[in-house]
Amino acid sequence: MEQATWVIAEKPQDYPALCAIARTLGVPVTAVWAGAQDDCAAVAGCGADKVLCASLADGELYEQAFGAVVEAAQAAAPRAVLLASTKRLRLGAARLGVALGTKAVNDAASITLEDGALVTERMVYGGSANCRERMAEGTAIVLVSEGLLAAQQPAGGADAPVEMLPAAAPSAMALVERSPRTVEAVNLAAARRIVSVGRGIRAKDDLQMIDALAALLEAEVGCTRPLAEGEDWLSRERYIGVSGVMANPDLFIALGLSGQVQHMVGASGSRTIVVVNKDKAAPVFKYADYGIVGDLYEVVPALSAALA
Amino acid sequence: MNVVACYKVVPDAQDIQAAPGAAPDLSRAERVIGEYDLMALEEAAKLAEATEGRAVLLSAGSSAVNDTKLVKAALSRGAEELFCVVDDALESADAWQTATALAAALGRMEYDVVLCGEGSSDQYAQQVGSLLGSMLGVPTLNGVSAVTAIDGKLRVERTLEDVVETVDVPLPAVLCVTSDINLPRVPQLKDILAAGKKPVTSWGLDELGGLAATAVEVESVLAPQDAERKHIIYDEVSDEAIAAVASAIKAAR
Repeated sequence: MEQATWVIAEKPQDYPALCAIARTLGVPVTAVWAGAQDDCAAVAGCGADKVLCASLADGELYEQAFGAVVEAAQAAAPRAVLLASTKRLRLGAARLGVALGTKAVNDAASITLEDGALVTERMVYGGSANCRERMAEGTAIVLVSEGLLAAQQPAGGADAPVEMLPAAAPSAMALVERSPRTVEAVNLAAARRIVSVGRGIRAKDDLQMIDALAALLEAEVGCTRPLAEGEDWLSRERYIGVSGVMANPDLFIALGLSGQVQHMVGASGSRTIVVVNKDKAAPVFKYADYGIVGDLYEVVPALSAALA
Repeated sequence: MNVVACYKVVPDAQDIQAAPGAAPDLSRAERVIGEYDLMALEEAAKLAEATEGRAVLLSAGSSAVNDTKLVKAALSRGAEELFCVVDDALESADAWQTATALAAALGRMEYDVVLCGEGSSDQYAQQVGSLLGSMLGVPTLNGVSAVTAIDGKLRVERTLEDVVETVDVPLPAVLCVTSDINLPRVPQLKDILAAGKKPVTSWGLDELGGLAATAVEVESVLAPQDAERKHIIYDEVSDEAIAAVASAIKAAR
């Protein structure tokens, strides 16, 4: 086993934060890059002691280049591998896991070293509980949560030496096409004020009333999963919850939503929560700093008038 | 094409009672099919129909998997047969142990493609499908937002954070589908009645190599401490309530 922590991201700009976490584990840090060879230089100055590069040619599948990382990890058996939590790296973490005989811990909100064991915490049961896990032996593979990554004071340093990895065996899969994804440019995770709406809204046109309130407050509009994935009334980028955006605004206004834990966990970091729901027994009132039991069709225009 | 859809029986998150700082009480939670697994079941039925093939289901879990109501709920969604690995030791299995059990079961099944959901709705580790494919040593992709069968292979659309990819995937393969790949059907009464007549094959873990050892030890599962909230609630809409909440909003923004 190699006494080193490997860090892997899809974008060079995620390495300084990953390296900062890796530094707390007390062994040399190796930055592993699967991607365009030109970007390797950017990774080299991010605070690692060494860089391993799996070169990705144009038109090649990322998963092809990642095969070289899997082979190298199997040979080196590093003490830990920390990865950014992207879709590609969730698959990559599982491939590393099978090569090294362990599962990856996903979305770790904390990573610490205790008595030589790596200890992580993550949410389970839709945010109802935190699961503490311990990895005493073998390679610990950890997908770092976005929140933990964002909270780091980024590391930096002199350019580390770069070592090229031999190409992996060709993948049986073939990339046919790759196009940029057009997503609505909204970043709820960084929003300071959010107005979130649920099933209490009866028609798509009625969202104008919500937009008007949000505009008054310079707030972003968020929603529960059914509005983004069942009705398609709002884009998926606006869906707040355990499988969507985890937000921590100063102000969160919950309108016509029942307060299922899977949604509210995405808002539980809010400084102030205001709730409007016509059902007095709705669980959402549990989370309320201020609440009005009433129909949002009556309350929202009244609030807008009072705030205008 | 032989299509297998995997699903997990999970406690309904809405029913989980969790006192801050204590282990959540799962005993009163109704068991349901994982919310995101329903899309795998739907896509399997569609893919089997499009290829004049056969869709079957696979689940690994505690004896709840064999519950008549849950079996009918699963088999009323288009698949023809259910295979399951049932052992109470799987109740608290992690992604590694679940994937190992599924891989062992697939060793006794015929499959061209295995579909998994994005993640289970209890753990949401989003790892089982990817682990399973790697354990089987077959082409594996996650983030799959569309699947079509072309010339004995699959053409897959994959939606990632910043890009959409089209990938040709040879068979056999394991694909993890997104939670918005389709809108799962609502089974009708006739589907539920017909589901009761479909064959179910159940294996014990002892027939499939036992519960896998896991290198990750769970130390504790505890409900978080709730943030302190003011709980100033107005029971009806009044001018006073609107004015008070509006000024609280102004103060907080």
